Amino acid sequence: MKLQTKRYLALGTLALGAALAGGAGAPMTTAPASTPLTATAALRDPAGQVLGMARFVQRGMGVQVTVEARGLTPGQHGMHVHEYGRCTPGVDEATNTVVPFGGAGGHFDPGMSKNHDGPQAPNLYGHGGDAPMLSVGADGVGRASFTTDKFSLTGPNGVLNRTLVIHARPDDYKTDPAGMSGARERCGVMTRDNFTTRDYLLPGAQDFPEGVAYDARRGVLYTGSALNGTIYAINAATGAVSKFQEGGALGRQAALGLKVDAQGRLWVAGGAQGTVSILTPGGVTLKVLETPKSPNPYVNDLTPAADGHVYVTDSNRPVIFRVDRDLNLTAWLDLSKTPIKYGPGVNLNGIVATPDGRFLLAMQTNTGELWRIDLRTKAVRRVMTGLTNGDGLLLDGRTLYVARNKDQVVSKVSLTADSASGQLVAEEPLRGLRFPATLALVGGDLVVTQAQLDRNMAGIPPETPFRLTRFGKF
Amino acid sequence: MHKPMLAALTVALGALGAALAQGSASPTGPGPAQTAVPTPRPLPAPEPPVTVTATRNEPRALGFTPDKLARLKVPAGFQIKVMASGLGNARMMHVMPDGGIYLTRRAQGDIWYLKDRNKDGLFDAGERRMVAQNLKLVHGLDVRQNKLYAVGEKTIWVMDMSRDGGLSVPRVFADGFPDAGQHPARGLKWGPDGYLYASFGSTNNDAPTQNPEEATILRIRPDGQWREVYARGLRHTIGFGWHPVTGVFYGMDQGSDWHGDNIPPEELNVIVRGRNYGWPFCYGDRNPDPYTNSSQIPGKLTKAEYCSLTQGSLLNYTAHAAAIGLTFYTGSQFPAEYRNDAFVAFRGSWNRSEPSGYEIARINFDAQNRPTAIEPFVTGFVYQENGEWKQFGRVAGVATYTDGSLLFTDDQSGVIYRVLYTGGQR
Repeated sequence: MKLQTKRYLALGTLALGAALAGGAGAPMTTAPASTPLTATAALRDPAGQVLGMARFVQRGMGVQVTVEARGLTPGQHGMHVHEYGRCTPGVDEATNTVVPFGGAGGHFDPGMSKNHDGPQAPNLYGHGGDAPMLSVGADGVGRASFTTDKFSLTGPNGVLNRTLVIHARPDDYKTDPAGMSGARERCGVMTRDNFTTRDYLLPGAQDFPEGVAYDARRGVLYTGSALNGTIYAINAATGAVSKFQEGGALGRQAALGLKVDAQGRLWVAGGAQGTVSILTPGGVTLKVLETPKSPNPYVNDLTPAADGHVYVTDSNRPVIFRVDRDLNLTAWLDLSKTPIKYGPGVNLNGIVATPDGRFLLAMQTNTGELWRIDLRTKAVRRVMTGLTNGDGLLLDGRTLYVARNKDQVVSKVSLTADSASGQLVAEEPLRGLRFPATLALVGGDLVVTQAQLDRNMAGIPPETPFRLTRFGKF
Repeated sequence: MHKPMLAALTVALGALGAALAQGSASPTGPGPAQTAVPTPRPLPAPEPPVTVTATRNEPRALGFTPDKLARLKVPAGFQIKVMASGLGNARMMHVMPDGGIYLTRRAQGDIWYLKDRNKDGLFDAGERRMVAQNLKLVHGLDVRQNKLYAVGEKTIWVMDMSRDGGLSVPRVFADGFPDAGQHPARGLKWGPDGYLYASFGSTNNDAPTQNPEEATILRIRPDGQWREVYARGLRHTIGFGWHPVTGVFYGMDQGSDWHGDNIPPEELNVIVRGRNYGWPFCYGDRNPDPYTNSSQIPGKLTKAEYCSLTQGSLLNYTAHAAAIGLTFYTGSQFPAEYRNDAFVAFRGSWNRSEPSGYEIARINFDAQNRPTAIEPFVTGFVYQENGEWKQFGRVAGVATYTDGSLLFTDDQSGVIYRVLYTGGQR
């Protein structure tokens, strides 16, 4: 549906200030990726033959796009960025039949506009993937070159590992869901150039992996389903996956943050159940600890500290819980008496302890604030701001890595020796991250979960197989 | 870039199913047939309409009378006797080494202790007494370290046992289990690994349940504190146990009602930790059930895709026969070929045009201790007379008595039957 674009543009600029380069809004706190951000999509026809290329070069907060596609009928062709990174046959919702390139899904819609619009509409009012039409000459070759800030190779509008699709017909820039642009004729996955990662693939169709932890002594990565609590053990060397424990038992119906303690036990944050579970290295439930009854608990992450205790965040209740060596859970710090102010959305989330045993660092997702909490005095200090949608934390010496779920990046922060302040150094979209939630260190590499929880919340299917992505420190 | 990843996935899934060799020779039944991870769909996969013909046929229930014993058939060399009648809703039994028997009565919510002190082969009135009561829907029971454990609707109780068969006041051992709904017969046994196993059927017939502890076997810590879902997709597995030689874990599952005379069959499953046995969408060897509502499949996968992720049954039996108790025969009275076989009580159908079940069946294990067939052992409880189906026994519990004879209960007339091997001698 076409909206009155002009009227909304002003509003959109305000609301989307963070996402629109060159807009009037406040600039987003940002940092460069570790290597220049460029990407390529080989455009294939439904038979798999490559009949064109698209190139993407990051320009500020936007991207410069060049497309050349052959063998198309002369005239205008709708062209869009689609949600999923696969050029496979898949379901067309309108007919519930399998069509060519249906696997690419609907238009990329980072603003959750649920509306098809033209290439100038702000993402809150139209799909972020709504690109200008491709103009095809009499020779069947279409060329386009444009710069847009509706999408990017990094950040919340990031399109790495999504698809560019060219349709059979012109785009009217208004009719849902795709501007009457007809069948999908070309499709290419937007793949980052010169960047290597390794994926660990999960076997289930509903895995939504949120937490990850690494047991270095066994060489095993653990990850768990936020949806059903099932926990997998992954051989970090071979990638072989086995089920560590089926989810679903009382208190074990969801798994969020995971950590391995010094005894090799796996700790599981139980999310909306309000529980903390401890599993033995054999995968047996040792104990399920229950936080006080509450209408809306959200036990999100936890960390062992040098003092032998495990500290637990709750994203809805302003309290940090603590579990002692005898596995007794108590409320340790009432956050309402600290500078940490809980508001709507996900509050305290990722938590780590400094190796010197002095501090906890905790991420507040909704405000982008990173907090330092003194383990002895309980004094709370704000380390930095600007880490919006910060989720899981990983501390490697004085370097803090932050998984920033909706922002689709891993941020690298350099901390001062006392962790009193930090500076954003770099942020990496890798080869495209779908809701990166938490991180683990495996030797010199990092592993990040691609939880896709935003898709579950948006009511669109996840992309399978679910994956964890391993990459070198940057 | 994609090819090495797919290879890695194959390796990974191979490891997931490593314990399961594929094919008919598999000792565990067909494992997941997964070759790729199914793609969740935006909308339920379309399926063609299907029409089912289903029959409710409950044979006329007749009370037990001794003259009906002559109707019962046992294999040559076996003999059948009655040890007690009028016991009420006699369900599951546990036989103690001294011959004492604990019997649960689900409808009455109590446990009885029976002991044939005068050795006349009968549980006389003075040899029966109630030893625990007010245990809602008490059913499966087992003994460990001089304590009796019993499971009811949402609770597992533990009772101290005294030498005379008496029990202490029951204490709650574990609690908060799912509602019973349609399937209130819970099973319970201590496993060879020292954990307690209990089965909890689905509240409903053929749709996913909200409580993920339903339609499962749960494994419970020895202190009763916490549990895990050991296996799921089991609609109503009441009888289960570990083979005395191989230690393989077997269970009999009851398939859905109202899907016709022959769909789905009753299943003998090998229970493997972490597996999904398919209910409500798949039956037998991962067959999609055409009569279940596919829009409720998690991720809106196609039924075939969903079933490819599940574990198939090892053997099937006539639909709706309704397996209840299961026990492995470790006695020595029966011929050697029966040793380490299993006996199953099929309580009998109400949902099939020609009744099935109403019998004790034998699960025949071969020389390699692999199950090869499920065959009738005690039959004759159901019959047609003047064009009408009639039955005089709904069999439930099975147990081996101290002398190696086989005991089973009829929960309709409260009878305990005893099958002896006499080799034709009387």
